[in-house]
Formats: sequence, C-alpha cells, structure tokens
Amino acid sequence: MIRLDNVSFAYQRGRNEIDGVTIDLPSHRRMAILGGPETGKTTLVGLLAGILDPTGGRIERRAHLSFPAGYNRAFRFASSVRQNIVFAARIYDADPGEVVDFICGILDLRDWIDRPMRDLPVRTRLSVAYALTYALPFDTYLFDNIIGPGDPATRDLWRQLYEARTATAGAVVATRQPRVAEAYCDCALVLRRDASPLFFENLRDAIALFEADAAAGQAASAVSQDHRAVEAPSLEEGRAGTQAMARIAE
Amino acid sequence: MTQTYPSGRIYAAGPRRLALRNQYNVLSALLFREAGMRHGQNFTLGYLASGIEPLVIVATIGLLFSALSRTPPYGSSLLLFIGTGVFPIYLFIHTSLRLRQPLNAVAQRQRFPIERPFDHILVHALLHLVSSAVVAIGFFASLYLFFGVNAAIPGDPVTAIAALLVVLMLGIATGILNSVIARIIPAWDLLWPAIARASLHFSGPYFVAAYLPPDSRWYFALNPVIHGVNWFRHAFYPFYPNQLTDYGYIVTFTVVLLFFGLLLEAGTRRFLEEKD
Repeated sequence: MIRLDNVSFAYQRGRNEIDGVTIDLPSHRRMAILGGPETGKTTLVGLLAGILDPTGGRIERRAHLSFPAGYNRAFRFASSVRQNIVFAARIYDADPGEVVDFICGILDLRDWIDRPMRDLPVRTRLSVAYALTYALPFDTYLFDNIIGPGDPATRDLWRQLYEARTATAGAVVATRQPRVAEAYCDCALVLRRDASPLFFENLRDAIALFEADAAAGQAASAVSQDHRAVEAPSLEEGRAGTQAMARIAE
Repeated sequence: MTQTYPSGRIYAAGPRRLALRNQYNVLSALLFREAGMRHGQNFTLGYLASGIEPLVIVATIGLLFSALSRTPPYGSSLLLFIGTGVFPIYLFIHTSLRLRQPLNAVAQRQRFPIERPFDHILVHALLHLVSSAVVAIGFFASLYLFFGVNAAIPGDPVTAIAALLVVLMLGIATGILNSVIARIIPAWDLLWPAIARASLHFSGPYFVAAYLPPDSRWYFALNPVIHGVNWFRHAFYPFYPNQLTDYGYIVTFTVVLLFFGLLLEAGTRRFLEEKD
C-alpha cells in the first residue's frame, strides 16, 4: 500500500500541481493513473518514485517502488554499459550477474556491453534503461505513459515483459489514453483539474468519469478558446516516437 | 521467451531491516564506483592522486628551508615537522573542496531516487579519509625507514587518529556549508579553493604557533585548523608546546559549522531547487 497524506507539490512557485491529496493506493495491483493534460500524472509518478520531494505532506511507501520506467539520468556515460547495470543491480539489491544476463537475453548488446555508455545510440540507451527497469525486482513498477520504447518490432517484447512482471508485482501506469488503461490495468485513479482524485476498483467506471470529464473540458475550451488546452496535446505529440509504443494495435 | 526474472532476496524482511539493507547496498555500491571515478570520468586511484599535492607542498617547503639553511622550527627533522602540519591541513582543504560535489545541483539530478545526497557525502568523506591515510602513512613510514627519523612513528597513535577525525569533520562541515553558498553565489566555487589553499600558510605548517609573538598569536588562534595541526603534532612530539592548543575550540567550531551547514542546506533546499 502507498499512503499519501495531504501531499502537495508545486513547480517553480506555480499553482499546486498536486494539491493536498490524501488517499491510499494499492501497491500490488495494476493501477492506471488517468488524467487529461496538466492534471499532474507525471508529477504524481515522480513523487511516488521519489525523484520529486513533496512540497507538503508525506508519502508512506509500504512497498518497494521502482524509479519511473526508462529512467536513464543516473547512467554514468564514462562507465561501460555493464558497469552501469551492475551498479543499479547492486543498489536495488538484485544479483548483478543475473541482471546483466537478463538484459543481454532480451536485447542484442553483444557489441555494446563493454563499451562506454556514451557510445551507445540513443535508442539503444533507452532500451537498456527500460530493460533495466524490468530486470530489477520491485513490488511496484511505475510507468509514465510508456510501457516500452520504440518500434513495432519490439512491441511484443515489452508487452511480454510487462505481463510477466505484473503477474507477481504491482504496476502504476500514468496515461491519458483509456485504451492503454484497458490493456494494461485493472483499476484506476482518475486525476481531475480543480477536484480531488478518485480511485475506482472498476476500470469501466473510471474511464466513464474520465471521458465525461474530458468532454466537459473540451466543451469549455471550445467556448473560451483556451489556447493552453489546445497546445498541450501537440506538446505530447513531440515525444510520439516513444509514445507510439503505448498505443496497442488491435 | 524463457527468461528467468531476477528476483529480490530480502523482501520478506521487516521494514527496518529493509531500510538498513538498502542503506548498506547503496553505500557499498557507491564506494566501489566512486573510488574509480573523478568528476564523472573513469580515473582509477583518482583519490590517491589527490595525495600528490601535500607531498609536493612538503617537498617545496622542505627544499626552501634547506636552501635558506634554516634549522627545523621544532624537533630534529625538518620533513617530519612540515609533514605533521601539511597532512592534516590538506585533509581539511581537500575534504572541504570535494564535499561540495555531492550536493551540487546537476549531480543531484543524475542519481537513482534511492541514492540520497548524504550517502554520497558519507562515501566521499570515507574515500578521502582512506586515501589521505594511505598517503600519510606512506610518507611517515618512508621517513622512518629511509631517513631514519625515529619520531616519525607517532608515540600516541590514538591522539593522531582523533585529531585527524576532528579535522575531517571540520572539512565535511565546511564542504556542506560551501556547497550551499556556492549554489547561492556561484563565484564561491572559484573563490573557495583559493581561500582554502592560502589558509595553508596561516595554519602553521612551518612554524610553532605557540612561539608566535603574543600580540598576533590570538589572531592565529581564531583559525580552527591550527588547533587541529597542534593536536596532531602532540601525537608525534610529547613535549610540543600546548599554549595554543584548544581542543574545545576546534570541536565546538566543527559542531556549530556542521549544524549551520545542515540547517542552511535544509532551509534553502526548496529555494535552490527552484532557482536552478
């Protein structure tokens, strides 16, 4: 269980992105965080992971939470890929040899594993970061929009990894696409602007509320020509290369 | 796909043991990584390399004093006297310089969430202590073995270790305070190394503080490092003049500095995160 106690967070003295949230979240289930643009999905994942510290309140984690999937800021570019993986495995209490074998098993790293991290192509580096997330043992895996990076060829791979890991562990997937939530999750937390978040045991109810909210929001923005609401989706499209994965071909 | 998924080893343990175990994992992994790195670049024995600087200073001052054919200010060996001053001073200087890194804004973003800044501070301090100790022991041992200076083996090793630990703590406290000041005033990163290295000459590497003229002596006594140097010398010279050795002063100074450093760090954390 993850207990949020009156948690707030604001960027740069702006408005509160997360405003006094008190809620208990399940840590061993597959939970979606559904929310429109600028409702604080990424912020909430960052807070849960501990890469952001709450401005107020506290978060009590009664489970071993991962870093956001694909977190690659901590890689040392001068060290080899293997050294980076071994370091991550050590601090997250996994067997370094097993983790390296696992990552080499799912990605073709023969030429790269002993080269410095900075020599890796960006895509490969991102793949290593995601593979590392799945390789490490956590109670709850945190995802921000993306289950796995990349091209259609590897789509099944990440999906398999996700299914295998969440068979025994929990997951939190932040997304604004109901289809992603349907494909990967069983319950959901709906984030809304200017209202407190609601947790739903039943995914259908959550999606119904989310879509009603989105429709209301669109109607409001069509009236007031709120350019921020129009701009926000195009910003998200900027990362489409990696986001494509999160959409599932039916 | 027939992969075996790496599994955790200890998640059945209680939360307190888990926290301890995590702490141990982070510290041990960091220790081995940071030992081979410097400024994020691979540099094996990078920490030992910083031991060259005190050796150069000892050699320079020793050469200068020999050229001027001055007698050692105290004891019979010039190199021993200078060495007992320069090594604790450089322990302070290098610690206060290097401990700015763990709290640096960029470095803080390039970490896994499980690594906290104070893990890095602890690891860097420990690496400094070990590398300084290795270089210092090498120096004093070679004085004893090759120069026949019998006094190079401290008569009171406990005093020597206590003095070095207090100087190390002073360096850590100064480093933490500096890291916060440097984030508020970036020019401090250029000023402090100059100030620290200049302070070498006021900390008594080549004079006996207690033999200074009584008028100026008390100004020198304001510098806490000079008390650390005297403390360290008591371990080597049993009859070293102790008029200017105030153990209470350096310990109090360290505690107060550490307190204010941590207070300033905690108080300005949010402000600085927003500033960067």
